Amino acid sequence: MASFELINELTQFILKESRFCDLSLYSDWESLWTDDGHYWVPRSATMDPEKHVSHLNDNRMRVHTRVKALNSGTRHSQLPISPMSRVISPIELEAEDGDEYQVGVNFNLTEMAIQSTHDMHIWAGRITYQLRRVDGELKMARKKVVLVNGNEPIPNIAFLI
Amino acid sequence: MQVCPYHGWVYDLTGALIDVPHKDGYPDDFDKSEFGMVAASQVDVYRGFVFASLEGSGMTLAEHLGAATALIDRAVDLSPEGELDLQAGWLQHRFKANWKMLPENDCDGYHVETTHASFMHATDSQAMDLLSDADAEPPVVRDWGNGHMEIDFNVAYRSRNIPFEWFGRVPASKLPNYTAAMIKAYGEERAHELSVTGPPHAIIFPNLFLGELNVIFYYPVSADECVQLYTPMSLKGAPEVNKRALHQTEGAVGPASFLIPEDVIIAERNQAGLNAGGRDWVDLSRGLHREYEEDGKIVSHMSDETVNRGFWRRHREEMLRDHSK
Ligand SMILES: [Fe+2]
Repeated sequence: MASFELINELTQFILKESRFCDLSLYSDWESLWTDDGHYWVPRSATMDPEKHVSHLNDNRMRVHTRVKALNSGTRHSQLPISPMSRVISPIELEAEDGDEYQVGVNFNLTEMAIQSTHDMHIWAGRITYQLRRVDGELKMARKKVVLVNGNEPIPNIAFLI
Repeated sequence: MQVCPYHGWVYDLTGALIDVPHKDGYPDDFDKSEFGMVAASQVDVYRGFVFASLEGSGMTLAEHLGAATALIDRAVDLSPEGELDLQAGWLQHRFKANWKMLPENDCDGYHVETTHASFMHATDSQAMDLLSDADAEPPVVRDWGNGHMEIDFNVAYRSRNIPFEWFGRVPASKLPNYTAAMIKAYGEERAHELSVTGPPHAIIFPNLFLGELNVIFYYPVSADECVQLYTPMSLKGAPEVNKRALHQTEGAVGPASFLIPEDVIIAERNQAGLNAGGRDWVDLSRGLHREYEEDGKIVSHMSDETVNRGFWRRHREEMLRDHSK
């Protein structure tokens, strides 16, 4: 049984990461990644990232490119940035291996597509995090987001999901 | 065999009705052959691309494609087996604009530096090398007739003669098996030509977009909403290429990519703008004064609306044509 302190620490990390996404704090968010990070939004839970085309399949270098584009001031699909609010479920520590933790949460995100239609978009699914302790500090080595509608026609995901 | 879950009617795989439960509810002369599924009245295939028309188009596929088969060839010839093998699945993107914003946008060379400024800022794209090389043949737009069109980057790549520059400048040494298979299939000279030329950036009227190593098509949902679908243009017999192309597709197209979300947001804003009224026409005259004819096709500067005029000419023809003939 994982200690309350550990669960609390993992929860606080995930809530902070979610807030950085909600507020589009791109550079703060980028600083949460390990050097070998993998940011992945497959079309469904059973897909292979090297075989099936994903919505988003960033290695660490592409995470940096994504943040650079978002910070450029000309990322029109996020100008202005989408007001967002996501609700994160209590966490489940799915696996633990030394300094590495696999944590699952469900989320529900409301996004206001303020750049054009002003439609309210609802996004929902499950996130699986691979969190690693590096020099005493938790970092994000992997974030996999499985949407309930990943295999449907969906609007822009130009924000941090 | 397919069984309808509503009343249990049974069809074979050709769509013919083969059984109906509780037949006594119908008279003896009930003719099952009249109740099969409706077939598309016209289906034809060119190099693996299946074209279908539910009502019939009034012309053959060969007449429709005309010279533009060369654009499809330019894509499919990149496979050492001369075939595409689309196995990666499709990204689907929904947005609130008329579908014709897509053919207008996909071959528009005028918007790139403004709409895609964030991509140019964040990446080191080979397109910039191409555009800044004064000695290279400049990219052009070309109206292939019948509404088919392209931005021809290939002339520029070919004149620079650098293998796989179009493929994110990957060195040929990283594609040894592909290179060997291409030489075996096409001979040294033709394989080299294909490696420096690359895939097309072209629209096959009305809704197929061969966007470099992406196969893309789109359909309307309503007058102001549409769906666009994307898959990597996987080449049969070319796993080294396909592995890279998969991640290029993810970077370039789809709802979370670097490029298309920008086009989509502009299209949605344009759609809202059209509702404003006050101006009856969208001006598409750019380049009229400098376009020229080459091999029976109209060609112009990459940023010119020559291709959009070609699209709308065909669109108008189709809207006026009697399709029952
Ligand atoms: Fe574009």
